Amino acid sequence: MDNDISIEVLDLHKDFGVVYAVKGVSFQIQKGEIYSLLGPNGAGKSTTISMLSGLLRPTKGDARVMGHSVLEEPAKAKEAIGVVPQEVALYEDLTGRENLSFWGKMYGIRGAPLKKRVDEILDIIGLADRQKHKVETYSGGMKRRMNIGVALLHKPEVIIMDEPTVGIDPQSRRNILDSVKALNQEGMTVLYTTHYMEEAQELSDHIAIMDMGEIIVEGTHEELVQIVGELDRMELTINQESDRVMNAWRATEGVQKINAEDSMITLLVDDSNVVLPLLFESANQLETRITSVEIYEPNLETVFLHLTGRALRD
Amino acid sequence: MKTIDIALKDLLQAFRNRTALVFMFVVPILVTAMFVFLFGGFGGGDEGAAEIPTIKVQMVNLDEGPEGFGNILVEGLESDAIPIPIEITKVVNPDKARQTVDNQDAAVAVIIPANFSAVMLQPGGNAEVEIYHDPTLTLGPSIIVSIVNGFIDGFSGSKITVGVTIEQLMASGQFFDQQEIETILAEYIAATTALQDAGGILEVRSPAGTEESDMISGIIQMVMAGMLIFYAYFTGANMIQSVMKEDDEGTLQRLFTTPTPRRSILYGKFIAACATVFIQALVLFIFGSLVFDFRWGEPLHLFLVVLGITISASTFGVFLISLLKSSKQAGIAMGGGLTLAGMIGMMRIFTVGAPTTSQAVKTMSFFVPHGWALNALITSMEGGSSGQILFDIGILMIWSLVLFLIGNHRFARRFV
Repeated sequence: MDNDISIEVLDLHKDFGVVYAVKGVSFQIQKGEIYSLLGPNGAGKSTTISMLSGLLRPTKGDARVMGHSVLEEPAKAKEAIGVVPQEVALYEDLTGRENLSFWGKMYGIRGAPLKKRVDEILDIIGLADRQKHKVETYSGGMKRRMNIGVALLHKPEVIIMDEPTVGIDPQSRRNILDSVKALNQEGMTVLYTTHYMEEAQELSDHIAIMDMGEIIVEGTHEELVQIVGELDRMELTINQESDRVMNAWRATEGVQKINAEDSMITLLVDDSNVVLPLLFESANQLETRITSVEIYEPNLETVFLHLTGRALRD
Repeated sequence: MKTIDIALKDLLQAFRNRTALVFMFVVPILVTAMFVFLFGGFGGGDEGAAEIPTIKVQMVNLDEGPEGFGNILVEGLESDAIPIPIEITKVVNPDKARQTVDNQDAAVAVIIPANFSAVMLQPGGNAEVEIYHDPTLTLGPSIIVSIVNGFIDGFSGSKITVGVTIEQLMASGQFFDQQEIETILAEYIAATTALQDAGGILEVRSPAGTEESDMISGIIQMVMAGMLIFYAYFTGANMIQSVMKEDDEGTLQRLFTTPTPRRSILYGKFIAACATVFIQALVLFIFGSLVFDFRWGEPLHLFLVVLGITISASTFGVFLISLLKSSKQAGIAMGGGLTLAGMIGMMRIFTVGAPTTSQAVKTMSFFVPHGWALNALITSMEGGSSGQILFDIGILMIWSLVLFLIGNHRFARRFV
């Protein structure tokens, strides 16, 4: 294995009886980079990182973390990673310090080094002044910070973050994204899963887009956007059910992909300046009023739509 | 070492949980205390005897009969055998006696009529002893009425007895004149009244007599023993239930992402359950000894019993919780499973004090480990031999081993 590789995933499969959650996923993460798994809910992102972090045993395939197989050397692989679960996983009836001390012990740190590290983490996550309060008294944002702090206790070489920004306020989200960047700048490799295109775009050196248990495309942000070339993405809102308009617009020249969610229709078109008048004309004929139009530069959402025919938020 | 860390963490959480503490310590004590109060304490000895204030009596004996039945009644009331303090003041004037009562200087006035002896000697005669009392008082006058009635009933009984006897004698050909009959009757009444001291008429009892008190104390101790065992098993299961709680809250999954062997997690929780049950049992036994004066048996025997209960309750918890698929089922397991097993095991407690208890009841309780735990404790309480206790504990350990192996296997399969 290349010494510069932190994580190497080799043909990973996971099925739950007849349900295939992950189907032959393979990728490599270089040391010191932020790698994002981007995909809608149910794409297989969480299952993939569950296998990497030792929560689930792969049905087939293997993964190596810092050279240690998750199947053959699970303890060593676990020592190399810190996992930030999607939901806050802390003992609410223990104080912040008690939580950090306990989790530190679970990573094999004890005595004076543990005390020192707990102090450091409390400073990093900005909760030193609340360390003696029970976690149940913390705000949502504070719990999220503590949740990340626990994963950093043993100074892991790789940190795995499973959708850490789901369901939190914009300010806390901003703090988490900043902390991910800061950790990465300290040399930590980050595997980040998200279904927010903007997060993957902002943070990642490399992005793998997952759908239905498979990686459908992988590369840097620029490489992925290149896939869709000069295509424009348009979002139009109409004043009624989309079925009739969808059929008409699908047949319109210049429309590459079309997807509807309620009254919002997302289209991938060759040139928005040419296609838009045609869409208005078609809508008029069907006595449908277009209430809003937005045109976007090609981005990861466009890529996902181009590759799957569905919007990322689906 | 991580096993101990997990155990210490669980202990910290358990002893911070007020609800758990209430079920561990307060409820068993409260239930026992409730039984103590329901039965009015353990009674026993004179210390618990009811205290009755001195009853002041104005005694007017107007009886003119030579037989002196009025005097017999007065002497009866003055007798030391009456276990109630009565202060008798003999007066001659009935009106003065009544006035004294009206002035609340006496509780009651007993006025024996002039024809008392004469009427008592007449067949079918009714003597009327007047009991004049302060209407605001009830206890004192009632006691005096009881004593007087007791004497008069005695007189009447004697009169009937003598009457029947004389009739029988006369029917057999022996004849008595009226004078002889009255003499016989007077002597008989005097003799029987002397035999029937007032102590026989009136007896003061504390709410529970000594024998009854011992029985009640035994029952209450059995109740506390039952409570202790029932809640020990509850605590064992409740501690192991933290596995399900951690599963729900995501901390169990997080533990799995650390380099901590999975068996350490269950063993840590098992150790925490054992420690908690041990502390609980110890506290309750000491409390029962100090507050209720219960005798649990020889210290070594009791230690063995506590150890047995501790291990058994914790392994039962491992087994019971391993049957659950989610924490949503915990209510059924904790409420239904534990209660059912507890009720089967505690059959002997439910039937304690019953005059006849079927052997089947005792046998049935051995179908669950609770029954063996209770048997071991009762054996210790009753001063059984070390051999008997070790036998019960041995069976309890076999139960424990089987339940732990099943529970451990189920958890291992579940969390692979």
